[in-house]
This record gives sequence, C-alpha cells and structure tokens, in this order.
Amino acid sequence: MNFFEVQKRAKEQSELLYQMSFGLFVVTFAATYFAILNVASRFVDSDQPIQFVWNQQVFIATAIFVGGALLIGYFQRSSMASSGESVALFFGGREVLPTTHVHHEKVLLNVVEEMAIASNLPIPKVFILDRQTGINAFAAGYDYKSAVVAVTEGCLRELDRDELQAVIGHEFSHIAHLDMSLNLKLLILVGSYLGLFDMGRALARFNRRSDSSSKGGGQIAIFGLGFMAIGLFGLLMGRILQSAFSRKREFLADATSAQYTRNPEALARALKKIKEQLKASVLKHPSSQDIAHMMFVSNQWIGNIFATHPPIEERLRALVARPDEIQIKDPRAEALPEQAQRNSQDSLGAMATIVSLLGGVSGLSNTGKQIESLISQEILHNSLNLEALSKKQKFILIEKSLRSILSASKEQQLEFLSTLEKHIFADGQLELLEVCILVMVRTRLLTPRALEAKSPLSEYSLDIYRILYHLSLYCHKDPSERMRMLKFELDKFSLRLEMFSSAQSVAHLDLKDSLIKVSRADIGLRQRVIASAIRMIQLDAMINDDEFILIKVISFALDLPLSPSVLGQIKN
Amino acid sequence: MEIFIALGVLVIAGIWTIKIYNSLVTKKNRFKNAFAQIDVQLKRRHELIPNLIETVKGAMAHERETLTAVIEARNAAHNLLTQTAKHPEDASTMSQLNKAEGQLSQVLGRLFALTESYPDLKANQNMAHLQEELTSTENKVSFARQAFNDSVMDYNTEREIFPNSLIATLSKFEEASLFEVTDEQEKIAPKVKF
Repeated sequence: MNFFEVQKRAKEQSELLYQMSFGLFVVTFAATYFAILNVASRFVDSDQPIQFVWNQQVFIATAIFVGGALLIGYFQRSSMASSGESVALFFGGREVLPTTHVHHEKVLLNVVEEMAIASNLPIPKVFILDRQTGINAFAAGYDYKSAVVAVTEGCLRELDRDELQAVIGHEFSHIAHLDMSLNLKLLILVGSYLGLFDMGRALARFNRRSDSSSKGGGQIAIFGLGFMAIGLFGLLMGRILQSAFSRKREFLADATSAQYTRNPEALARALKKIKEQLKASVLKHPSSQDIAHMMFVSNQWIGNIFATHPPIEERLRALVARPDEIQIKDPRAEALPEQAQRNSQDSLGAMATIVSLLGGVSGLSNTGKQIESLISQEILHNSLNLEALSKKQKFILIEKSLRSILSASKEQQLEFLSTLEKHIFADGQLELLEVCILVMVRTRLLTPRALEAKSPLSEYSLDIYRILYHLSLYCHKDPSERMRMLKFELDKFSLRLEMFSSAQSVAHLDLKDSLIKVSRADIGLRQRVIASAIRMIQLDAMINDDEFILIKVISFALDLPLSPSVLGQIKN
Repeated sequence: MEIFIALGVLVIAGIWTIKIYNSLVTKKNRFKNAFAQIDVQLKRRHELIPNLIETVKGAMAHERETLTAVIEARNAAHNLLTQTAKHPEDASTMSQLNKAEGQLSQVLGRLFALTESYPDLKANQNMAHLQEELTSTENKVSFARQAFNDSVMDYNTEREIFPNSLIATLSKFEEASLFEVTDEQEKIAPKVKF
C-alpha cells in the first residue's frame, strides 16, 4: 500500500463531502427563504404585490429561523463539544498515570508515546475503559493539546504490542487531522435540520389548537408542513453526507496509521481479530451511538449509507494486497501446558517429554538399558498427553527439555542419545521435528562447541545447498518462486543451482547430516548461512510453524542466536 | 474607487503571503522538533543500559563477555552523542554516531537472545520492565527518525510548489535534507519487537 497516495485520495474525497455538507446547508437556507416568501406573498393584499426573489424582511426572517435551528442543533450536541477528557470519563474511562506499575498499562503508555513521536504530536492523556471486553478504541478532543486516547480492556488483552500500536496509530490520525472537530461541525448542521423539522411541527400543531376559523390558520399549517419537509430532507441528506465523510476519514486514518507504524500488516491483524467478534466490539454504553464516528470500529453492514465506518473487509483490502493471507494468533494459544513445562525442568522428565513427543513408549524397552525403563516409568507416572500441541509448541518444549538434559551425567546423556536414535529410526521415516531433535542433541549434547577451524567453502557447498533447499521448500508454495529465491541465495556463496542434482537433497536424513557438518564450520561461513536463511524466511510476511522450527534449529545448530528483531518477527 | 480595489488586492495578497509564510515556519518547526526527539530518545536509551546490566549481572555471570561488549558499545555511543550535540552540523560525527548506535543495537540483541535461556531472568518483573522500556526507546528512536524524514519531505514539498516557492526563496527557507541511516546493518534491521 502506498499510504501517502491513499491518504491524499481519502483526504480529497472527504473534503469534497465536507464542502457538499455546507452546500446542502445553503440549499436548505434557500428553500426556507422561498417557503417564507411564498407564504408571505399570500398574506399581503393583491394590489400591493410583494417584491419577488429578493426581499430583505423575508431574508431576515429566514436568517432568524435557520439561526434558531442551528442553535437547537448546537445545544443538542453541546455534550459532545466538551473536552476530550470529559468524554472519556463519561464513557467510563480510567486515566492511566505515568506512575503506573502495571506492566500492560506501562506498555500502553509507551505505545502511545511512540505514536506521539511518529505523528509529531503532543502526548495525549490515556484512558482505559475497564469492563469493556470488546476490541475498540477512540480519540476525543477538539485540538492537539486537549486530545485524549481511550482503549477498551479487551484491546489490551487481545492485541499484541504491534497490533495495539497500529490501533493507537489510527486514533492518532483522527487527532492529527482534527476529525472530531470536523465531525462535530457536520453533526451540528444535521442537528439544525432536526431543529427546523421540530419548529415546523410546532407550527403545524399550534395551528390546529388555535382553530382554523381565522384565514391565516391554514396558511400557517402549510408553512409548518413546508418546514417539516425541508428539515426532513436536510436531515436525510445531511446524515448521508456526514456518514460518507466519516467513512472516508476512517480510510484516511488507516492509511495514516500505516504511515506512522510502517506496519500495515499489524493493523490488518487487529482488524481481523475484531472481525471475528464484531458485535462484542461495539462499545456497551447507552450513548455509544453518539461517538460511533470516533471509534476504531462500529456496528455496520455492507452498503449501509448511514454507517460511520466502512466494512472491515473493505478496510482490509485497502491495507494489504491479500487480506486472506494475514493470519492472526491468540497470544494465549502459544502458552504451553503448565504440567508439560514442569516436567521438562528435570533431566529425566525432559527425556520422557521428548520420547512422548516422538510417539510414546511403544518403540522403547527392548534393549534393556536402565535409562529406558526409567523413562517408561516417568511417562507412565506423568501420563503425558502432548498430542494436542501445535508443531511450534512441541518444538519449544523440545528446546526447553534439551536445556534440562544438559544437567544429566555424560553417561546418561550418551545412553539417552542412543535410545533416542533407535527410537527415531525405528519407523524408517524421518520427520522435520525428528531431524530437529537429532541435530540439536548432536550439536549440543555431544560436541558442545563447534570447531573454529578455517575451512574452504567448497567443502560445504553441498551442505549449504541442502539447508537452503529445505528451507525454500517450507518458505514458498510456488515452485518457480522457490527456484528463483534459491538461485539468488546460492549466488551469495558463488554457487549455481545447476551444480546440484535435485536427487541429492530431498531426504531429511541428508539435512540432518548437513546441519551437523555446517555446525562445525568457521564463524564467518556460519554467519553467512544464517543471514541467507533469515532473508529467505523474511521474504513473505507469513512465517508458518515449519519455517519457525527450521530457522530456530539452524540458529541452534550454528550456535548463532537470532537477533531480537528476527525473533519478534517469527514469534508473531 | 480604483484605489480601494487596489488596496483590497494588496490586503488579500498580504494575508495570503502571511499564510504561506506561517505554514512554512510551522512545517520547519515540526521537523526541528522531530530532530530534537531523536537526541532525547538516544540519551534515554543510554541511561537505561546501566540499569539493565545491573539487573542481569547476577544471573548472567557466565556471560561476562557479552555484558562488557554492551557496556563498551554504550559508552562509545554515549561519547559520540555528546560530541554530536556540540556540533550537530558535522556530518562525519553524525554518521559515526549512527554506526555506534547500530553496534549497540546488535550487542543488545545478543544480550536479549541470551536472556532467553535464563528462566529466572525471564520471570523477573524488573527485567520485563527494562526490556519493555528498551524496546520502546528503540522504537521511539526509529519513529523519531521516520517522523523527521516525513516532516522534511512534507516541508520540502510545501516549499517547492508554486507560489510558495517565491516566498520560500525570498525568506530563505532552504531545502532540508533527510536523515540518512549510514550503517548497512541498521538499514536491514526492522524495528525491534519482542
């Protein structure tokens, strides 16, 4: 998305709608003028014809009527014209003070500060709407200095840091573009049409009560009906224009959020999360309709001309090229079962965990080694059920377990390794997760440090090819794209794709051997390999479980920790 | 009559000029403010690092090498920042500072990766707090740079379009240059997220 381009378009379109709203006001004013003129011309005697088209008295009368209607509109909205802080308090907000020690509140304040810097605006006051479990947020206030930002409790609970940042960025756009004050002006105009309608109705009623005996009575009734018609027309059109304006401003805010965070995917993820629970995200408050245009999302259905927000699907399409590919994750889903975590903390429990992950005890207990019976007992004792875990979770558990196994004696470690290998090779197949276990055990348990011998690249060319080849398999579905990527990375090692026949690479067994071999290369080569691997997984925004496992195991085997930025990316 | 028309035109032209002039001043101040933020946030980051070392020192006694590397990188960056503050116009110290900051990011990254294998540290409230503060500060540095560049771009466009260009040239509103990140590493590295 070119957010500057999208912003420009949204700004132009919304400004046109804004001007049209004022145009509508002029039209209503004129209609009122002619209505009064028409009625007045019937009152005066026919021999003294009233000057048509321009009549100063009629103009003044119209100005008084319309002015009165505007005043009514203003007073209707006067509660909305109050400061941002009072709006936040009115909707049950609790201010978050900088002295807070609650971690997620501190994160919220930091994220708001970050967006204030990104948008070059003063830092607003921050409010949390407790007990609002939906994901939503709003900004309120009519200038930069008095603006506030409020988020629901659900926002803090369901969104990760990047998604929260994107939502706050959206609200900062509303502040930066003074959307509250523009919307208020339009709402006052709409209110004035309602005022005109009310005045017309009062006139029509007044006429009925005063009996139709007098000659002017009927005229006044027509007069009142005319006002009602003009008011109704204005109300309808004004509301449509104001809603259209508000919808365009939402697109503007989404594009501006992308400009501030440079991370449109995070905003798309937040929107997707909300999409799944849209009803719940609408603020639970009797007056929530009054600030619907200020919210991050509001209730809407496709094609509704009175909706303040565009449908989420449309917002997603405007943000990212392929919204269907954006994946969302519940931050809590990654958490491992507590029982499993505890078990993996002592060496025997950790061994039992790994064996259970590989399919349980069935492959064990035929060599009569002491460690096997110990592990079997441990598994029976804990009755671990780890089948339900995702691949990624399994991997994290293996990583944890390995660390605990390091505390076992060398003999035990060796015994465990031989048992493990027998177990893994028993079924004649080698899955990715099994490769990972073998590589990690081999590189960490047996040879704790890689040898730092300076070694020629030619010795490793096949191994580099195999590692990158396997990684490319998991990174891309499209074979031609995969080949292009592989060629590009091989080129960095002055290798060519044609040097290898594809038969040389496909087995997982080879991947295992290659990873173990490269783990002993010198640091320079290892760094180049991991740099290539990181580039490959970063090529598309999505990182699936297999990619995650592979990059982690490469980093583990090569003994080069991933930088926090890469870690953060693959964790999402 | 003609004199009134002439006066009216003059007044409108005057108001118009003032408007353009003020808008240019506002935009210039915006990017200046963004620049000041970069400095503020870098300082804040340097202040946080001694606290971080203090917190992890006990648990990570075996990682002395990495800890020393962090302290050294921090001190180098801090010295350069003080120099840059004295001579903000000197492009060479600025690029050195960028490099030093990039290095600091790298060693910090290594340190945080290491903390992953210390369950005690991960459970430590203070550590979580410091990690969040450092993440936020790094984000703020890059957001400040980004805001600076965005506002410079905005200012330059405003300055170049007609008739603003006339007033800009007359009142010496010079073209502003972007904040270039010279360190290759930092160009590749996306914003820090945990």
